[in-house]
Amino acid sequence: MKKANKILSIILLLTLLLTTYLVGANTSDISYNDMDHIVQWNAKISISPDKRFVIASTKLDFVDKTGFLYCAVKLEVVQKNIETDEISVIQKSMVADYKSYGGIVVFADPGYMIVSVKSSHEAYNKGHTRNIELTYGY
Amino acid sequence: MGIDKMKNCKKSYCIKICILMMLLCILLSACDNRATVDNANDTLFIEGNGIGKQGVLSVVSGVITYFDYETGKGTVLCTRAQCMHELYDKDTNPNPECPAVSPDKSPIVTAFLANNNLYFATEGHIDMETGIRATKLYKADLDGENRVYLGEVVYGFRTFRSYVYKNYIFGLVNSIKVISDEEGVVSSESTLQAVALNIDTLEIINLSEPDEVESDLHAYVYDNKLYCTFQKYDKEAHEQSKELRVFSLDDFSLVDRFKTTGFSNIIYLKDHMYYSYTPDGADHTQLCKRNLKTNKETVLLLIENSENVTCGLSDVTEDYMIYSLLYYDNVNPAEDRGSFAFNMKDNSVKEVDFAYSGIYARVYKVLEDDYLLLRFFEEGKSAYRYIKTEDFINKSLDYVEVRPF
Repeated sequence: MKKANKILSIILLLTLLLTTYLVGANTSDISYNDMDHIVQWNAKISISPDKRFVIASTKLDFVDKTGFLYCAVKLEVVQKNIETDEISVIQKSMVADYKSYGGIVVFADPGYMIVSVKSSHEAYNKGHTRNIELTYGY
Repeated sequence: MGIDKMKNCKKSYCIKICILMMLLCILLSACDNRATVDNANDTLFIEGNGIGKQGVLSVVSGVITYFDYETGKGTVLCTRAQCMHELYDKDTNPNPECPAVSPDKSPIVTAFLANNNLYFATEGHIDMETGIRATKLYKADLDGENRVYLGEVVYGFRTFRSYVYKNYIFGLVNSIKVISDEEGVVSSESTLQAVALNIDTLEIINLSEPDEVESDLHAYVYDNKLYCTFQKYDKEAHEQSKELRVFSLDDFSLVDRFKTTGFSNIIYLKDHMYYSYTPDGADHTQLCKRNLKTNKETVLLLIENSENVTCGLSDVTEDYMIYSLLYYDNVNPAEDRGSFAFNMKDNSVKEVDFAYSGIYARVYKVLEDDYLLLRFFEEGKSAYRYIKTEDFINKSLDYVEVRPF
Protein backbone atom coordinates (compact mmCIF):
# COMPACT_ATOMS: atom_id res chain seq x y z
CA MET A 1 0.00 0.00 0.00
CA LYS A 2 2.77 2.38 1.06
CA LYS A 3 4.79 1.44 -2.04
CA ALA A 4 1.76 2.12 -4.27
CA ASN A 5 1.34 5.57 -2.69
CA LYS A 6 5.00 6.34 -3.29
CA ILE A 7 4.71 5.31 -6.93
CA LEU A 8 1.55 7.41 -7.23
CA SER A 9 3.27 10.49 -5.79
CA ILE A 10 6.28 10.03 -8.10
CA ILE A 11 3.92 9.77 -11.09
CA LEU A 12 2.11 12.94 -9.96
CA LEU A 13 5.41 14.76 -9.57
CA LEU A 14 6.65 13.66 -13.00
CA THR A 15 3.32 14.64 -14.59
CA LEU A 16 3.56 18.11 -13.09
CA LEU A 17 7.14 18.58 -14.23
CA LEU A 18 6.34 17.23 -17.71
CA THR A 19 3.37 19.62 -18.01
CA THR A 20 5.62 22.60 -17.43
CA TYR A 21 8.26 21.25 -19.83
CA LEU A 22 5.74 20.75 -22.63
CA VAL A 23 4.76 24.43 -22.42
CA GLY A 24 7.98 25.11 -24.32
CA ALA A 25 7.19 22.76 -27.18
CA ASN A 26 5.27 25.21 -29.35
CA THR A 27 8.14 27.07 -30.94
CA SER A 28 8.76 27.35 -34.66
CA ASP A 29 11.42 30.08 -34.74
CA ILE A 30 15.04 29.34 -34.11
CA SER A 31 17.26 32.37 -34.09
CA TYR A 32 20.75 33.40 -33.21
CA ASN A 33 21.77 36.95 -32.35
CA ASP A 34 25.16 38.31 -31.55
CA MET A 35 26.93 41.65 -31.54
CA ASP A 36 30.27 43.25 -31.05
CA HIS A 37 31.69 46.71 -31.62
CA ILE A 38 31.50 46.20 -35.42
CA VAL A 39 27.93 45.13 -35.95
CA GLN A 40 24.97 43.25 -34.60
CA TRP A 41 23.75 40.33 -36.64
CA ASN A 42 20.87 37.93 -36.65
CA ALA A 43 20.33 34.52 -38.20
CA LYS A 44 16.90 32.97 -38.18
CA ILE A 45 14.97 29.96 -39.40
CA SER A 46 11.25 29.92 -39.09
CA ILE A 47 9.17 26.82 -39.74
CA SER A 48 5.43 27.18 -40.34
CA PRO A 49 3.23 25.45 -37.74
CA ASP A 50 1.86 23.12 -40.42
CA LYS A 51 5.44 22.18 -41.41
CA ARG A 52 4.77 23.23 -45.00
CA PHE A 53 7.48 25.86 -45.45
CA VAL A 54 10.60 27.29 -43.92
CA ILE A 55 12.06 30.80 -44.11
CA ALA A 56 15.73 31.38 -43.39
CA SER A 57 17.34 34.79 -43.17
CA THR A 58 20.53 36.63 -42.29
CA LYS A 59 20.48 40.26 -41.15
CA LEU A 60 23.01 42.88 -40.15
CA ASP A 61 22.32 46.00 -38.09
CA PHE A 62 24.80 48.85 -37.82
CA VAL A 63 24.88 52.16 -36.08
CA ASP A 64 27.34 53.80 -38.47
CA LYS A 65 27.71 54.10 -42.23
CA THR A 66 29.21 51.01 -43.80
CA GLY A 67 31.09 49.60 -46.78
CA PHE A 68 30.76 46.43 -48.87
CA LEU A 69 28.67 43.76 -47.22
CA TYR A 70 26.74 40.63 -47.97
CA CYS A 71 24.39 38.12 -46.38
CA ALA A 72 24.17 34.46 -47.37
CA VAL A 73 22.09 31.44 -46.42
CA LYS A 74 22.46 27.74 -47.27
CA LEU A 75 19.46 25.62 -46.45
CA GLU A 76 18.97 21.86 -46.28
CA VAL A 77 15.39 20.74 -45.76
CA VAL A 78 14.45 17.10 -45.14
CA GLN A 79 10.85 16.38 -46.10
CA LYS A 80 8.64 13.33 -45.68
CA ASN A 81 5.81 12.14 -47.89
CA ILE A 82 2.70 12.19 -45.72
CA GLU A 83 1.30 8.97 -47.24
CA THR A 84 4.35 6.87 -48.07
CA ASP A 85 6.86 8.20 -45.48
CA GLU A 86 9.37 8.55 -48.31
CA ILE A 87 12.16 10.93 -47.32
CA SER A 88 13.81 13.42 -49.68
CA VAL A 89 16.15 16.35 -49.27
CA ILE A 90 15.88 19.86 -50.71
CA GLN A 91 19.02 22.02 -50.79
CA LYS A 92 18.93 25.73 -51.60
CA SER A 93 21.32 28.60 -51.20
CA MET A 94 21.40 32.33 -51.82
CA VAL A 95 23.70 35.33 -51.46
CA ALA A 96 22.45 38.90 -51.13
CA ASP A 97 25.31 41.17 -52.21
CA TYR A 98 25.44 44.76 -51.01
CA LYS A 99 22.50 44.10 -48.73
CA SER A 100 22.17 43.97 -44.98
CA TYR A 101 19.33 41.45 -45.20
CA GLY A 102 18.88 38.31 -47.23
CA GLY A 103 16.16 35.72 -46.95
CA ILE A 104 15.10 32.50 -48.62
CA VAL A 105 11.83 30.59 -48.50
CA VAL A 106 11.48 26.88 -49.25
CA PHE A 107 8.17 25.05 -49.52
CA ALA A 108 7.85 21.32 -49.01
CA ASP A 109 6.73 19.54 -52.19
CA PRO A 110 2.99 18.88 -52.51
CA GLY A 111 2.08 15.92 -50.29
CA TYR A 112 5.20 16.35 -48.15
CA MET A 113 5.84 17.89 -44.74
CA ILE A 114 9.09 19.22 -43.32
CA VAL A 115 10.88 16.90 -40.93
CA SER A 116 14.10 18.78 -40.29
CA VAL A 117 15.97 21.88 -41.39
CA LYS A 118 19.63 22.80 -41.26
CA SER A 119 20.74 26.31 -42.23
CA SER A 120 24.17 27.89 -42.56
CA HIS A 121 24.21 31.67 -42.30
CA GLU A 122 27.08 33.94 -43.26
CA ALA A 123 27.47 37.68 -43.21
CA TYR A 124 30.35 39.98 -44.13
CA ASN A 125 30.91 43.53 -43.04
CA LYS A 126 34.03 45.71 -42.77
CA GLY A 127 36.49 42.85 -43.16
CA HIS A 128 34.75 40.60 -40.64
CA THR A 129 32.89 37.42 -41.56
CA ARG A 130 30.39 35.78 -39.27
CA ASN A 131 28.97 32.27 -39.49
CA ILE A 132 26.41 30.25 -37.63
CA GLU A 133 24.56 27.01 -38.30
CA LEU A 134 21.01 26.53 -37.05
CA THR A 135 19.06 23.29 -36.95
CA TYR A 136 15.50 22.20 -36.40
CA GLY A 137 14.48 18.57 -35.92
CA TYR A 138 17.98 17.14 -36.47
CA MET B 1 -0.40 -2.55 12.73
CA GLY B 2 -3.92 -1.71 14.00
CA ILE B 3 -6.58 -0.44 11.60
CA ASP B 4 -6.71 2.99 13.37
CA LYS B 5 -2.95 3.37 13.25
CA MET B 6 -2.96 2.37 9.59
CA LYS B 7 -5.71 4.94 8.89
CA ASN B 8 -3.75 7.67 10.72
CA CYS B 9 -0.60 6.77 8.82
CA LYS B 10 -2.48 6.93 5.49
CA LYS B 11 -4.07 10.27 6.52
CA SER B 12 -0.69 11.71 7.47
CA TYR B 13 0.78 10.46 4.16
CA CYS B 14 -2.06 12.09 2.20
CA ILE B 15 -1.48 15.37 4.07
CA LYS B 16 2.23 15.18 3.21
CA ILE B 17 1.38 14.58 -0.47
CA CYS B 18 -1.00 17.56 -0.42
CA ILE B 19 1.64 19.80 1.18
CA LEU B 20 4.18 18.60 -1.40
CA MET B 21 1.75 19.35 -4.23
CA MET B 22 1.03 22.82 -2.82
CA LEU B 23 4.75 23.54 -2.50
CA LEU B 24 5.27 22.37 -6.07
CA CYS B 25 2.48 24.61 -7.31
CA ILE B 26 4.05 27.58 -5.52
CA LEU B 27 7.47 26.75 -6.94
CA LEU B 28 6.17 26.23 -10.46
CA SER B 29 4.37 29.53 -10.40
CA ALA B 30 7.31 31.45 -8.96
CA CYS B 31 7.47 33.63 -12.07
CA ASP B 32 3.74 33.55 -12.34
CA ASN B 33 2.43 36.36 -10.15
CA ARG B 34 -0.85 36.82 -11.97
CA ALA B 35 -1.48 40.47 -12.59
CA THR B 36 -2.21 43.06 -15.17
CA VAL B 37 -0.09 45.92 -16.42
CA ASP B 38 -1.00 49.55 -16.62
CA ASN B 39 -1.22 51.65 -19.75
CA ALA B 40 1.64 53.94 -18.73
CA ASN B 41 3.82 51.26 -20.19
CA ASP B 42 2.68 51.32 -23.81
CA THR B 43 5.24 49.57 -25.98
CA LEU B 44 7.82 51.82 -27.60
CA PHE B 45 8.93 49.35 -30.24
CA ILE B 46 8.78 45.68 -31.04
CA GLU B 47 11.94 43.77 -31.80
CA GLY B 48 10.97 40.21 -31.00
CA ASN B 49 9.89 41.43 -27.56
CA GLY B 50 7.70 44.47 -26.95
CA ILE B 51 10.02 47.03 -25.36
CA GLY B 52 8.24 49.47 -23.04
CA LYS B 53 9.21 52.35 -20.78
CA GLN B 54 8.85 50.26 -17.63
CA GLY B 55 9.09 46.69 -18.80
CA VAL B 56 9.25 44.22 -21.63
CA LEU B 57 6.47 42.02 -22.97
CA SER B 58 7.71 38.66 -24.13
CA VAL B 59 6.25 35.37 -25.30
CA VAL B 60 7.87 32.76 -23.10
CA SER B 61 7.24 29.22 -24.31
CA GLY B 62 4.03 30.40 -25.95
CA VAL B 63 2.78 32.33 -22.89
CA ILE B 64 2.55 36.15 -22.89
CA THR B 65 4.65 37.34 -19.97
CA TYR B 66 5.47 40.84 -18.72
CA PHE B 67 8.87 41.54 -17.15
CA ASP B 68 9.29 44.80 -15.28
CA TYR B 69 12.69 46.47 -15.29
CA GLU B 70 12.73 47.31 -11.59
CA THR B 71 12.59 43.70 -10.40
CA GLY B 72 13.43 41.76 -13.56
CA LYS B 73 10.65 39.35 -12.63
CA GLY B 74 8.10 37.91 -15.04
CA THR B 75 4.32 38.02 -14.68
CA VAL B 76 2.06 35.90 -16.85
CA LEU B 77 -0.72 38.06 -18.31
CA CYS B 78 -3.48 35.91 -16.86
CA THR B 79 -5.53 36.68 -13.77
CA ARG B 80 -7.51 33.45 -13.73
CA ALA B 81 -7.07 31.42 -10.58
CA GLN B 82 -5.86 27.85 -11.02
CA CYS B 83 -5.04 28.49 -14.71
CA MET B 84 -2.07 26.45 -15.90
CA HIS B 85 -1.69 28.50 -19.14
CA GLU B 86 -2.00 25.38 -21.26
CA LEU B 87 -1.19 25.74 -24.94
CA TYR B 88 -3.19 24.37 -27.84
CA ASP B 89 -3.11 20.64 -28.29
CA LYS B 90 -5.38 19.03 -30.85
CA ASP B 91 -6.16 16.13 -28.50
CA THR B 92 -6.00 17.50 -24.97
CA ASN B 93 -6.62 21.25 -25.36
CA PRO B 94 -8.19 22.08 -28.76
CA ASN B 95 -9.72 25.36 -27.48
CA PRO B 96 -7.25 27.05 -25.14
CA GLU B 97 -9.00 29.41 -22.76
CA CYS B 98 -6.07 31.01 -20.96
CA PRO B 99 -5.89 34.70 -21.97
CA ALA B 100 -2.09 34.54 -22.11
CA VAL B 101 -1.81 31.87 -24.80
CA SER B 102 -2.76 31.57 -28.45
CA PRO B 103 -6.41 30.64 -29.03
CA ASP B 104 -5.42 28.05 -31.61
CA LYS B 105 -2.49 26.12 -33.01
CA SER B 106 -0.82 29.21 -34.51
CA PRO B 107 1.95 30.27 -32.13
CA ILE B 108 2.10 33.84 -30.85
CA VAL B 109 4.71 35.80 -32.78
CA THR B 110 4.77 38.90 -30.60
CA ALA B 111 2.77 40.87 -28.05
CA PHE B 112 2.66 44.59 -27.32
CA LEU B 113 0.73 47.26 -25.46
CA ALA B 114 -0.90 50.19 -27.21
CA ASN B 115 -3.70 52.61 -26.44
CA ASN B 116 -4.53 50.98 -23.13
CA ASN B 117 -4.89 47.55 -24.72
CA LEU B 118 -2.92 44.38 -25.13
CA TYR B 119 -2.34 43.31 -28.71
CA PHE B 120 -0.77 40.12 -29.92
CA ALA B 121 -0.07 38.55 -33.29
CA THR B 122 -0.07 34.90 -34.19
CA GLU B 123 1.36 33.18 -37.20
CA GLY B 124 -0.65 33.80 -40.39
CA HIS B 125 -0.43 32.36 -43.87
CA ILE B 126 2.26 33.01 -46.44
CA ASP B 127 1.14 34.34 -49.79
CA MET B 128 3.09 32.34 -52.34
CA GLU B 129 2.64 34.97 -55.06
CA THR B 130 3.78 37.99 -53.11
CA GLY B 131 6.11 36.11 -50.77
CA ILE B 132 4.69 38.07 -47.83
CA ARG B 133 4.11 36.39 -44.51
CA ALA B 134 1.00 37.52 -42.68
CA THR B 135 0.03 37.53 -39.01
CA LYS B 136 -3.32 37.32 -37.27
CA LEU B 137 -3.89 40.23 -34.92
CA TYR B 138 -5.81 40.13 -31.64
CA LYS B 139 -6.77 42.83 -29.16
CA ALA B 140 -7.61 42.35 -25.47
CA ASP B 141 -7.85 44.19 -22.18
CA LEU B 142 -4.59 44.70 -20.31
CA ASP B 143 -5.25 41.54 -18.27
CA GLY B 144 -5.72 39.54 -21.48
CA GLU B 145 -9.51 39.22 -21.02
CA ASN B 146 -12.17 40.20 -23.59
CA ARG B 147 -10.05 39.07 -26.47
CA VAL B 148 -11.18 40.12 -29.96
CA TYR B 149 -9.83 38.74 -33.23
CA LEU B 150 -9.16 41.75 -35.44
CA GLY B 151 -8.15 39.93 -38.62
CA GLU B 152 -5.15 38.97 -40.69
CA VAL B 153 -2.63 41.57 -41.80
CA VAL B 154 0.16 41.32 -44.36
CA TYR B 155 2.69 42.44 -41.81
CA GLY B 156 5.30 40.21 -40.22
CA PHE B 157 6.50 41.62 -36.85
CA ARG B 158 9.34 39.15 -37.18
CA THR B 159 12.59 40.38 -38.54
CA PHE B 160 12.60 44.13 -38.41
CA ARG B 161 11.87 46.60 -35.67
CA SER B 162 8.29 47.89 -35.48
CA TYR B 163 7.53 51.21 -33.79
CA VAL B 164 4.34 51.63 -31.80
CA TYR B 165 2.61 55.00 -31.65
CA LYS B 166 -0.98 55.19 -30.42
CA ASN B 167 -2.96 53.02 -32.82
CA TYR B 168 -0.20 52.78 -35.42
CA ILE B 169 2.68 50.45 -36.11
CA PHE B 170 5.47 51.80 -38.32
CA GLY B 171 7.75 49.22 -39.86
CA LEU B 172 8.71 47.13 -42.86
CA VAL B 173 6.79 44.55 -44.85
CA ASN B 174 9.16 41.87 -46.01
CA SER B 175 8.52 40.00 -49.24
CA ILE B 176 10.75 37.09 -50.28
CA LYS B 177 10.20 35.83 -53.80
CA VAL B 178 12.21 33.18 -55.64
CA ILE B 179 13.20 34.61 -59.01
CA SER B 180 15.11 31.62 -60.31
CA ASP B 181 16.29 28.30 -59.00
CA GLU B 182 19.10 26.64 -60.92
CA GLU B 183 20.39 23.44 -59.35
CA GLY B 184 19.60 24.64 -55.88
CA VAL B 185 21.20 28.06 -56.19
CA VAL B 186 18.32 30.38 -55.61
CA SER B 187 18.11 33.89 -56.86
CA SER B 188 15.59 35.43 -54.53
CA GLU B 189 14.19 38.90 -54.46
CA SER B 190 13.80 40.16 -50.94
CA THR B 191 12.06 43.50 -50.85
CA LEU B 192 11.19 45.70 -47.93
CA GLN B 193 8.44 48.28 -47.99
CA ALA B 194 7.90 50.90 -45.31
CA VAL B 195 4.32 50.97 -44.06
CA ALA B 196 2.06 52.37 -41.38
CA LEU B 197 -0.35 49.78 -40.02
CA ASN B 198 -3.48 50.95 -38.23
CA ILE B 199 -3.94 48.28 -35.57
CA ASP B 200 -7.62 49.05 -35.09
CA THR B 201 -8.81 49.17 -38.71
CA LEU B 202 -5.94 47.01 -40.07
CA GLU B 203 -5.48 49.50 -42.88
CA ILE B 204 -1.95 49.50 -44.28
CA ILE B 205 -0.61 52.75 -45.72
CA ASN B 206 2.52 52.46 -47.86
CA LEU B 207 5.23 54.93 -46.91
CA SER B 208 7.58 53.82 -49.69
CA GLU B 209 7.73 51.85 -52.88
CA PRO B 210 8.95 48.25 -52.56
CA ASP B 211 12.74 48.08 -52.25
CA GLU B 212 13.21 51.77 -51.47
CA VAL B 213 14.50 50.86 -48.06
CA GLU B 214 16.82 48.14 -46.84
CA SER B 215 16.97 48.44 -43.10
CA ASP B 216 15.29 49.71 -39.96
CA LEU B 217 13.21 52.89 -40.26
CA HIS B 218 14.32 54.49 -36.95
CA ALA B 219 10.84 56.00 -36.76
CA TYR B 220 9.99 58.89 -34.43
CA VAL B 221 6.89 61.01 -33.98
CA TYR B 222 7.17 64.71 -33.17
CA ASP B 223 4.68 67.52 -33.60
CA ASN B 224 2.19 65.30 -35.44
CA LYS B 225 4.88 64.31 -37.93
CA LEU B 226 6.50 60.95 -38.55
CA TYR B 227 10.28 60.92 -39.13
CA CYS B 228 11.74 57.86 -40.93
CA THR B 229 15.20 57.05 -42.24
CA PHE B 230 15.26 55.42 -45.66
CA GLN B 231 18.53 53.62 -46.04
CA LYS B 232 19.71 51.76 -49.11
CA TYR B 233 23.08 50.52 -50.29
CA ASP B 234 24.58 52.58 -53.09
CA LYS B 235 26.60 50.08 -55.11
CA GLU B 236 28.57 52.78 -56.94
CA ALA B 237 29.48 54.85 -53.90
CA HIS B 238 29.96 51.74 -51.75
CA GLU B 239 28.10 53.30 -48.89
CA GLN B 240 24.64 53.56 -47.48
CA SER B 241 22.55 56.15 -49.21
CA LYS B 242 20.31 57.69 -46.59
CA GLU B 243 17.38 60.02 -46.66
CA LEU B 244 15.17 61.35 -43.92
CA ARG B 245 11.52 61.53 -44.90
CA VAL B 246 8.93 63.35 -42.88
CA PHE B 247 5.24 62.42 -43.14
CA SER B 248 2.15 64.13 -41.85
CA LEU B 249 0.38 61.94 -39.31
CA ASP B 250 -2.97 63.22 -40.56
CA ASP B 251 -2.84 61.56 -43.97
CA PHE B 252 0.74 60.22 -44.23
CA SER B 253 1.55 62.61 -47.05
CA LEU B 254 5.24 63.39 -47.50
CA VAL B 255 5.92 66.85 -46.10
CA ASP B 256 9.71 66.98 -46.17
CA ARG B 257 12.76 64.96 -47.18
CA PHE B 258 16.50 65.52 -47.08
CA LYS B 259 19.66 63.52 -47.69
CA THR B 260 21.44 62.18 -44.66
CA THR B 261 24.09 60.14 -46.47
CA GLY B 262 27.24 60.09 -44.35
CA PHE B 263 25.24 60.42 -41.15
CA SER B 264 25.37 57.78 -38.47
CA ASN B 265 22.00 56.44 -37.39
CA ILE B 266 19.81 59.22 -36.07
CA ILE B 267 18.71 59.28 -32.45
CA TYR B 268 15.74 61.39 -31.42
CA LEU B 269 15.19 62.93 -28.03
CA LYS B 270 12.31 65.31 -27.39
CA ASP B 271 12.56 68.14 -29.96
CA HIS B 272 16.01 67.29 -31.33
CA MET B 273 17.64 64.72 -33.53
CA TYR B 274 21.25 63.70 -32.88
CA TYR B 275 23.80 62.14 -35.23
CA SER B 276 27.44 62.03 -36.16
CA TYR B 277 28.58 63.28 -39.53
CA THR B 278 31.83 63.53 -41.47
CA PRO B 279 31.81 66.37 -44.02
CA ASP B 280 33.21 65.49 -47.47
CA GLY B 281 37.01 65.65 -47.51
CA ALA B 282 37.27 66.52 -43.83
CA ASP B 283 39.53 64.64 -41.45
CA HIS B 284 37.20 65.19 -38.56
CA THR B 285 33.83 63.83 -37.52
CA GLN B 286 31.30 65.97 -35.76
CA LEU B 287 28.61 65.13 -33.26
CA CYS B 288 25.57 67.22 -34.06
CA LYS B 289 22.07 67.96 -32.96
CA ARG B 290 19.32 69.48 -35.06
CA ASN B 291 16.22 71.19 -33.78
CA LEU B 292 13.18 69.49 -35.30
CA LYS B 293 11.13 72.67 -35.19
CA THR B 294 13.63 75.22 -36.53
CA ASN B 295 15.87 72.76 -38.45
CA LYS B 296 18.89 74.54 -36.96
CA GLU B 297 21.97 72.32 -36.69
CA THR B 298 24.44 72.70 -33.83
CA VAL B 299 27.84 71.03 -33.84
CA LEU B 300 28.46 69.75 -30.33
CA LEU B 301 31.84 68.06 -30.64
CA LEU B 302 34.60 67.75 -33.23
CA ILE B 303 36.45 64.44 -33.25
CA GLU B 304 39.81 65.27 -34.87
CA ASN B 305 42.00 63.02 -37.01
CA SER B 306 39.19 60.69 -37.90
CA GLU B 307 40.25 59.69 -41.39
CA ASN B 308 38.90 56.17 -42.11
CA VAL B 309 37.08 56.31 -38.81
CA THR B 310 33.32 55.91 -38.66
CA CYS B 311 31.32 57.00 -35.67
CA GLY B 312 28.30 54.99 -34.57
CA LEU B 313 25.80 56.60 -32.26
CA SER B 314 24.33 54.22 -29.68
CA ASP B 315 21.90 56.54 -27.95
CA VAL B 316 21.42 59.95 -26.38
CA THR B 317 20.34 60.84 -22.85
CA GLU B 318 19.51 64.28 -21.45
CA ASP B 319 23.21 64.77 -20.69
CA TYR B 320 25.19 62.34 -22.81
CA MET B 321 25.76 61.22 -26.37
CA ILE B 322 27.11 57.67 -26.32
CA TYR B 323 29.12 56.79 -29.41
CA SER B 324 31.69 54.29 -30.72
CA LEU B 325 34.59 54.78 -33.12
CA LEU B 326 35.64 52.22 -35.68
CA TYR B 327 38.70 52.33 -37.92
CA TYR B 328 38.36 50.68 -41.31
CA ASP B 329 40.76 51.20 -44.22
CA ASN B 330 38.70 49.14 -46.69
CA VAL B 331 41.40 46.46 -46.72
CA ASN B 332 41.99 45.10 -43.26
CA PRO B 333 39.31 44.04 -40.77
CA ALA B 334 37.79 46.95 -38.90
CA GLU B 335 39.30 47.86 -35.52
CA ASP B 336 37.49 49.07 -32.45
CA ARG B 337 38.74 52.54 -31.44
CA GLY B 338 36.66 52.69 -28.28
CA SER B 339 33.28 53.84 -27.04
CA PHE B 340 32.68 57.16 -25.33
CA ALA B 341 30.15 59.26 -23.44
CA PHE B 342 30.18 62.92 -24.45
CA ASN B 343 28.79 65.11 -21.68
CA MET B 344 26.77 67.80 -23.44
CA LYS B 345 26.66 69.96 -20.30
CA ASP B 346 30.38 70.33 -19.59
CA ASN B 347 31.73 69.15 -22.99
CA SER B 348 33.85 66.43 -21.38
CA VAL B 349 34.39 63.03 -22.98
CA LYS B 350 34.78 59.86 -20.97
CA GLU B 351 35.59 56.42 -22.36
CA VAL B 352 32.96 53.80 -21.63
CA ASP B 353 33.13 50.06 -21.94
CA PHE B 354 30.20 47.95 -23.11
CA ALA B 355 31.96 44.84 -21.77
CA TYR B 356 33.06 46.04 -18.33
CA SER B 357 30.85 43.50 -16.55
CA GLY B 358 32.36 40.61 -18.48
CA ILE B 359 29.45 40.48 -20.94
CA TYR B 360 29.22 42.68 -24.04
CA ALA B 361 26.05 44.65 -23.29
CA ARG B 362 25.42 47.59 -25.59
CA VAL B 363 23.20 50.59 -24.88
CA TYR B 364 19.87 49.57 -26.39
CA LYS B 365 17.38 52.21 -25.37
CA VAL B 366 17.43 55.32 -23.22
CA LEU B 367 14.50 55.24 -20.82
CA GLU B 368 12.94 57.83 -18.55
CA ASP B 369 14.45 59.12 -15.29
CA ASP B 370 17.97 58.78 -16.67
CA TYR B 371 17.89 55.01 -16.89
CA LEU B 372 19.40 52.95 -19.71
CA LEU B 373 18.38 49.61 -21.07
CA LEU B 374 21.43 47.62 -22.15
CA ARG B 375 21.01 44.56 -24.31
CA PHE B 376 23.12 41.45 -24.46
CA PHE B 377 22.57 38.04 -25.97
CA GLU B 378 22.48 34.79 -24.10
CA GLU B 379 22.45 31.72 -26.33
CA GLY B 380 21.09 33.91 -29.11
CA LYS B 381 18.23 35.32 -27.04
CA SER B 382 17.84 38.97 -26.03
CA ALA B 383 18.46 39.78 -22.38
CA TYR B 384 18.57 43.25 -20.82
CA ARG B 385 20.09 45.26 -18.04
CA TYR B 386 18.36 48.20 -16.42
CA ILE B 387 20.87 50.70 -15.10
CA LYS B 388 21.27 54.39 -14.24
CA THR B 389 23.23 56.26 -16.91
CA GLU B 390 25.85 57.46 -14.42
CA ASP B 391 26.22 53.93 -13.05
CA PHE B 392 26.84 52.61 -16.55
CA ILE B 393 29.47 55.27 -17.25
CA ASN B 394 31.11 54.56 -13.89
CA LYS B 395 31.13 50.80 -14.61
CA SER B 396 28.89 49.94 -11.71
CA LEU B 397 27.52 46.44 -11.21
CA ASP B 398 24.36 47.92 -9.71
CA TYR B 399 21.85 46.89 -12.37
CA VAL B 400 18.77 44.72 -12.73
CA GLU B 401 18.97 41.87 -15.21
CA VAL B 402 15.90 40.96 -17.24
CA ARG B 403 15.93 37.61 -18.98
CA PRO B 404 12.58 37.32 -20.79
CA PHE B 405 12.87 33.69 -21.89
